[in-house]
Amino acid sequence: MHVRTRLCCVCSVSLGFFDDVFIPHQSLQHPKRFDHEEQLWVWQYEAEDGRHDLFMDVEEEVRLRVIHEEFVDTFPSSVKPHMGQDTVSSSGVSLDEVRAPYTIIGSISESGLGLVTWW
Amino acid sequence: RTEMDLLNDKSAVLSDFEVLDFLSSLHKRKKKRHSSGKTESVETITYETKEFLSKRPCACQSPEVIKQFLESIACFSLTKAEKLQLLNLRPVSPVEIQLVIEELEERFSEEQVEEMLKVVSSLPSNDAKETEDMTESK
Repeated sequence: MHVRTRLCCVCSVSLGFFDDVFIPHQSLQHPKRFDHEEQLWVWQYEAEDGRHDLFMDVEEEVRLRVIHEEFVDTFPSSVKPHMGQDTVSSSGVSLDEVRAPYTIIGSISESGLGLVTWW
Repeated sequence: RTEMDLLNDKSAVLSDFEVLDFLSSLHKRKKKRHSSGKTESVETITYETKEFLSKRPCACQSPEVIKQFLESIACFSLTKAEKLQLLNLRPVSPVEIQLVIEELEERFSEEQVEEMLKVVSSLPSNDAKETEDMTESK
């Protein structure tokens, strides 16, 4: 699967046939920062010779662990949340704009996870 | 709207190979029928899923390969889920394998982990297939 888009609160990943895979910022490798100039998430990897910025470039292949899946009833007769209320999933990802029927929440905050080229 | 009850949500697990095999058999059956507009989205997602799986280790597997792998890996006390992950993901390094085997260091020695990786590496890989394809086309 590869990095698709990146917002400052979540990283979105695609499988090619399914695009609703998200990594909330708290599940990225630590320490991390969001580079506003490049509009990319960066893992600030601490090595013996100092800190290295590892960028999560778009279209790069990633390995992630699925930590949660969410099914949302998008059938027209289902109750919609009230306007003005912040719709946040139990895993902390805002679902205000994303109302996909099925969403996968993943994590890359472990050794071996993240960009395949990092390991 | 039809109401349906879920009887058992974990009655069986399918390996990537079985999913790819099933989707390929669907494609062969559908070729004979004229596809209507209604099934276009299903055909698109079926095609895209097959495309994804064709780049995964399962694309080079067969029932015989899987049977051989399960026989070889049987000497290690692994759960069904762990064997399935090894089959689907084909990890090639200790850092990859520790992601799918829980408490790897507590359960297995370094030598056993090396042995496990050797068994997993006996599974055919896409990289080998790509090299073979390139050699054949020359």
